Amino acid sequence: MTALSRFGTSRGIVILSTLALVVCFPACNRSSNTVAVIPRACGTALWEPLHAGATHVAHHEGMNIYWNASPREDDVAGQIDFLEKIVARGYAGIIITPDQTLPLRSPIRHIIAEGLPIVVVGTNLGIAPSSKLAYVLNDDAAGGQMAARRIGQILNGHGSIAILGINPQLTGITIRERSFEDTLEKEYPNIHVVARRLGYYSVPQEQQVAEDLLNSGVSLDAIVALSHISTRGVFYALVEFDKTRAIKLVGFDQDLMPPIRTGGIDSVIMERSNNMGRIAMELMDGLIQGRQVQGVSVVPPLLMTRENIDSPEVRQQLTADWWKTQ
Amino acid sequence: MRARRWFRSTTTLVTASVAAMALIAVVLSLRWYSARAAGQPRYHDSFRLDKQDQWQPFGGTWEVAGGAMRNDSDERGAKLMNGNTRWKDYLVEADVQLLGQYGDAGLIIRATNEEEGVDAYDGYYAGLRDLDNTLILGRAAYGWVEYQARHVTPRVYAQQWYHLKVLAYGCDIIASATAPSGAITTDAIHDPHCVQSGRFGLKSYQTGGLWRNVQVRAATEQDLLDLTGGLKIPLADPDPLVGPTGKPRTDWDPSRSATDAEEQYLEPLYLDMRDHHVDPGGQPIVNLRALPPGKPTHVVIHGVVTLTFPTLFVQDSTGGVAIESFQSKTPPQIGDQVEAKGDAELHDFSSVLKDAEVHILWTHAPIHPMVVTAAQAATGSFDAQYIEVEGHLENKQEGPNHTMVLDLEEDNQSFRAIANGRGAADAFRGLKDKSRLRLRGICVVDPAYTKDLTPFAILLPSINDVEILEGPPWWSTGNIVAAIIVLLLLILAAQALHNYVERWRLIAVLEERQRLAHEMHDTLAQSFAGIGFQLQAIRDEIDDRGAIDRELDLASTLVRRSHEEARRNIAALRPELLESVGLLQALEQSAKSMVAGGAIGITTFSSGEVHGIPVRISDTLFRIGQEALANAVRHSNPTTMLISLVYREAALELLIEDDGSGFVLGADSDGFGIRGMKKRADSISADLQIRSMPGKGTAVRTIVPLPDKLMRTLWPTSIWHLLWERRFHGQETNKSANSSSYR
Repeated sequence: MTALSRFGTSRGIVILSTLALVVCFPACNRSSNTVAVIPRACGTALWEPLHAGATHVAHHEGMNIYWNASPREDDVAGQIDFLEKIVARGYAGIIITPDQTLPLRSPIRHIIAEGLPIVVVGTNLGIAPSSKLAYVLNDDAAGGQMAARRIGQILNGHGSIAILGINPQLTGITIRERSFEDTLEKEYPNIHVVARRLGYYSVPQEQQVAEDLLNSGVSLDAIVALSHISTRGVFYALVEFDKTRAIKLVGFDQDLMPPIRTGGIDSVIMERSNNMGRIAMELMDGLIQGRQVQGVSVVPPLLMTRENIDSPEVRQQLTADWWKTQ
Repeated sequence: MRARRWFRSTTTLVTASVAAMALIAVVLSLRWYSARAAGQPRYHDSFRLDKQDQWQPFGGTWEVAGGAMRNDSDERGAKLMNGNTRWKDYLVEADVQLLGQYGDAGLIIRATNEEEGVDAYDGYYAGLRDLDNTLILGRAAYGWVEYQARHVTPRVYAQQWYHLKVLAYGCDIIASATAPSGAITTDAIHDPHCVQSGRFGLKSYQTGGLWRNVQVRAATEQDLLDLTGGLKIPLADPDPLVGPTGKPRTDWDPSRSATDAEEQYLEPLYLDMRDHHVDPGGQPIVNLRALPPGKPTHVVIHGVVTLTFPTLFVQDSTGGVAIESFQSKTPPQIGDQVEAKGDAELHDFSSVLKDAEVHILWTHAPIHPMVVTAAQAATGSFDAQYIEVEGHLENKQEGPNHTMVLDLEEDNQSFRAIANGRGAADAFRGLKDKSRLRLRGICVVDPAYTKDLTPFAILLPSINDVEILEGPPWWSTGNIVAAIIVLLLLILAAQALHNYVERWRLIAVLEERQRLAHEMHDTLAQSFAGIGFQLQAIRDEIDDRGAIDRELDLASTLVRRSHEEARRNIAALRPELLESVGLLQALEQSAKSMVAGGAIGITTFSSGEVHGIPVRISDTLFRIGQEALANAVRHSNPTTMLISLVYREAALELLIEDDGSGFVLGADSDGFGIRGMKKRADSISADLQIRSMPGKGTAVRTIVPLPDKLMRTLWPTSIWHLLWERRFHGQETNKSANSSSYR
């Protein structure tokens, strides 16, 4: 075959290949520079700032974010199904905030075994960090201490309290509770925990638990609610029983802000989810690049009260401007 | 050579170019066709006709009911999409109603790339939100950007219709909501980097919703002016803070009292909260069975909804109850925890709640079915309860109002399972009788369902509540009949194959005999003739004829006898005679050749309808006849010999009879070739009878069954045989005609 004929054949192949590429481009588009971020829930005050934090870092690193979640926060099976669907799409990596600790352990181990980088936010699954796995955790122990000191402060070191929203299915909640009680016992021995109640994934159920507690005749000076769902449920019950002034409520995780302004909720130990999103994406970038990254990053929480709700520090963690490129 | 290469390379280029142009043409045609197919935005759905197939759901529980599209799911971001992704400037409007508190419901415009998920699409959304009484307008791009949230006057009420319009014209996106009072609220933004085109849809967030009179039409600038009143449309400038729960309202007045502030901010939250308030006076459902008979008693119960249609059923840890008539602000769904207040009436096995007020406390608290046997369920102890039971399907039938009724049997108990909905008939059509099924549903003993035919019935919440454990057993009547038919066919096929092999073996033997006869005729017989001729010549030439003459005569005699013997053997081996003239004539000619020159008379007789005889039978009968005739000639000194052939309906009878000396039948009579004849007769299942007495002659009768006898029982084989016989008859006739040249 002469050079001319070879050239002609090659050119034909190139033309056809180019055309084929143009035609199938939309279908052949791979997601290799996109990281999937799967929060417990989309559209909430707790997790939208994480979206913003992750997106800003991703844009800086020349990457994209796919942000979506199962429509139900309490649907761990749905989250696992969703996770499997995401893995099949071939994203560069996955950032996830598990609904529960134990059920997600196996699926995430499988993902790691397939070599896909993954950053777990909010819950330590017990799987050791590796070149494919890193954690970004809220410092729940510090959060428990923070809540205990706030209770000690507003009760002046004396009184009876209840703890609601205890949830063994999320290790972070358990850490909060233990840290809270340890701190309270050590630093405020005259404040007594007179009731403990398990938590649910539904506000109405939490509300009923709180109403039952208020109906039980137990004398309370304050309630600590360990999740945003239990915080909202307890707040509703306090309003229902007209005890928002008589019983102080210290909650966890940002959700309802207006009652903080009005005093219906004394304070909330908020997660710096915007920061957590940023850190998670930085770790993901490192894992994708094959760099050595910190296995577990712990982000300290922030106490949000009526006094500091409009402070720059708090507002930054409530910022969800994921659409901004910078 | 160079010219050929140039031609080849040019041809390659031309081919590639043509292919490329064809490809481009196809792509452009497809684009043009899809653009044309998109057409002008136009759609109207009053939800009276069944257009549900045109909608594409992403989450939610969408169904047409009462002239409206309904989503009862309170999940985040349930969407129902329709239209074309190439629609650009258009207006979508509908009547919208929120079913519950603390959520929003509205319309999507210019959407593409939809998936299941909260904000999993690219496009715009405008909706009514009751948490902060606003009309919201924003953009979703796998995340939510809220551009505007304008206060609706007086407020957004659930269970009320609002008319919502959303317009996309250029990069201007306008939303307006008309309250029942006539008050209009309008959001408008200009998005410089707008989404250019897309579909429309219905969406709700964290609450159910209703949509009716959905209309889409192409938008004009006049529509834009009508909606905005000519006011300048502001640039899209979203609030970076999360909302709505965290966003401080702009009309917040820190100087107002805390109580005022709570009223100002928390009214929607109060409403949400009151929805979840529980009456502490509830009683266990099992206690309803202990109510006084004959008089309705007002009760309060709490439980989980286990079925909503045809009757609402609620169950707690102690039992279940049917709620026959009720009112509810939001339609309860399976899995909802509800509080029901109503009048309980005592029935035989459980109570029924009537005129109840049902209030949903919270959702997604499904209970698991209790696993029971059919015998346990038949006691009535599980009336109105959610159970799981197994049974064998006996029958299935379509009932009224799109119901499907399954009749089942287990533990000597019959029961029915009733499924509702159009999909039930399709889903259960494939279920085979006698299959073992596992069913989950509400156990009822009400005669309205059991028709007093079975002790209980199962009301299936969905078609997914039927699970096939095992298919029907293989020994069903149909399968057994099929197996027998297959077995018979196999036997017939084996028999046909056996016959086929036997026939070919016989043909091969006959052909070999014929070949041997030709060989003997051409070699041995000719040699004998030659030797005899030479011996005669020697005798003629020798003068001294004394002793030599006698020896030569002896030698000539031996040669002649050997020659005759060879000719007889050749005649015996060659079947052409039989093939060409038939069995009777062949035997007659054979007899005549045996008695040639003698005084023995030959008589033949034939009766019955002459029909085709299988070649194996005719050949065997010919051999038997030859042997009988030869025996008569050699040993009986007869004066006449009779050859008789009688055709009967299912048999053929050959008789060789002589009037010779006869013999005494005994053990030593086999020496006359009788053994050989018997063996041949056995080979065709024939009956050989020999009758002889000294001085009274001998009769050899052979009766052979013909295939007609088999035809009565094995007609397929007979057909098969008939076809084969016809085929072979033709072949053998042809062969006979052709073989004449060998003589």
